[in-house]
Amino acid sequence: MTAPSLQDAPCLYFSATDEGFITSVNKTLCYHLGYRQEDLIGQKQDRIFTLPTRIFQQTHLFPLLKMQGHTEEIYITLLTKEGEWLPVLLNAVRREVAGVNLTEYVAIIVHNRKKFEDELVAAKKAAEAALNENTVLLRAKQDLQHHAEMLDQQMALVSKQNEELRQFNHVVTHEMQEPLRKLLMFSNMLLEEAGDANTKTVKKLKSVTEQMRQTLSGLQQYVWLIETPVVYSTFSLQTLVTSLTADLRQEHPLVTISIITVELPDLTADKTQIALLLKELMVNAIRFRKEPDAVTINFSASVVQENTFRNISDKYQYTDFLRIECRDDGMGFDGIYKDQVFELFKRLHSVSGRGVGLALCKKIVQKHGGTMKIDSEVGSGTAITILLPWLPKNTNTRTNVEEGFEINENDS
Amino acid sequence: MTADRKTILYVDDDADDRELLTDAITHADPEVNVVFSENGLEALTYLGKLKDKGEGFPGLIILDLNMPYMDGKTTFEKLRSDKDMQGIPVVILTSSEKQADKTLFNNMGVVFHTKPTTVSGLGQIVDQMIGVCRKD
Repeated sequence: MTAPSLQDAPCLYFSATDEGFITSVNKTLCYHLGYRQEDLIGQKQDRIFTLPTRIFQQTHLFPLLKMQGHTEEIYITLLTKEGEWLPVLLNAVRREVAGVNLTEYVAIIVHNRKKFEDELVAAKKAAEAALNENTVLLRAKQDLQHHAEMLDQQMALVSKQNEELRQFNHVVTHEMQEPLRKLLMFSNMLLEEAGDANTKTVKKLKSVTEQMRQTLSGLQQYVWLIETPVVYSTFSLQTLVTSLTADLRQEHPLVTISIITVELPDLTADKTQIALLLKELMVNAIRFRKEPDAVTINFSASVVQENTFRNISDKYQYTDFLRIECRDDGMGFDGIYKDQVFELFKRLHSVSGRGVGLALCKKIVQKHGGTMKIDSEVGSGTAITILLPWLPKNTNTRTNVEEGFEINENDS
Repeated sequence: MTADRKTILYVDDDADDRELLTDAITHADPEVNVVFSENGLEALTYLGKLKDKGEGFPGLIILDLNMPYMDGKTTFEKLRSDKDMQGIPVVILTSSEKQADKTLFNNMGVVFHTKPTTVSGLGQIVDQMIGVCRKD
């Protein structure tokens, strides 16, 4: 019999024999499971156990009770009359009453426990994930830091190498130029004093020295160009070509130089460098002329649309470029060598000059963000096509190219 | 201060060039006397002493650009910022073929010579220099 005070206690109470027959239940249990007391007493306890509870009871709970006589805080589910599962926490005590082993069970309903547990597990998982993520982030940050340091070291190395290269350039172009100039000067003096026997040798000496001096001079100009920023101003291409022509006619009085120009517009670029570029092209045309005493050079220019992306495939942004073409009627060269002519010290003709001319031209065009190509055929002249970014007038900017000599924007 | 129209100050660290130019100047005009400084600093010290003693400045300064201690460009700036020395005629004689150097000095109205490689070229430059020095 169930004690009266236990009948309405806020817990579910029942007792059962070792064979599993219910001997007593309290009202609270009946109320929650939907039975009357008489429905349960004398019945097998399995009636109020769900399947997992039945298995657990046989495999764990009962052996435990037999062994230690009591157990606490066991989480199980009870089965209501309607077939619903009721989660409870169970305490149990097994003892002998009047020669019979009886187990008394007290359970409290824990509807929310599962929910809390789930939440706890979820929170724990989230915390673990966050920690993991944090670790990954930390590692990434460390890697990044490491890479930044490596990059910094590399940049320092590159900067140092650049400085060494600059010094080397200076030695080659200046320090070597000096003894050569003197060699020339002294051989000239010797030539004036020398008798006929030595004249030929001294002349050879002089010619070799002069050749080397020209090469060095070209190299010096090339190095200067690398180190000098592009200074933009707007000027007339037509006027520039006209003035260059006048200079060249003075330098080559025995050659009839005909210049034909078509629609040469105003251009925004580095005037000094463009003058150097055009002069090199004209000098080449004169040097490699077909007729002994005449050369014709055609200049034309037009604004065209070109893709600004030249190295990335599948990327297109069309902007305006000025296309300048310089075509001569000279001896030309075999088109298969057209890439070689832009290399430093690559000479195709034995009458060639310093060997830096076209390399210099290409450098100037590159510094302006443009491109240059050459087409030629033996006996039918050479055509050089230059594409320069077409900038609006009076774009007075400088490119940020190391330190160089300040050039007055209005001069030259 | 009156100028010494028979003296040229030649500032250059290169002994060969000093000898060549002096020979050429003496050959062209035996009355002209050439004094040397090996760099800009030495030249300014020399000119400072002339100023203190109240002696006349040279009729012309020939200035090299690449020199130790003080280069030609700095020397030129110092000369131009001194109220007594700014009137002394200066010509540049250098082995530098930098277009920018040439442009810089030409813009200031200074004669810029690249060191010659021929005897006749040297003669022409020297004649011009003597002309500037002896001009009244």
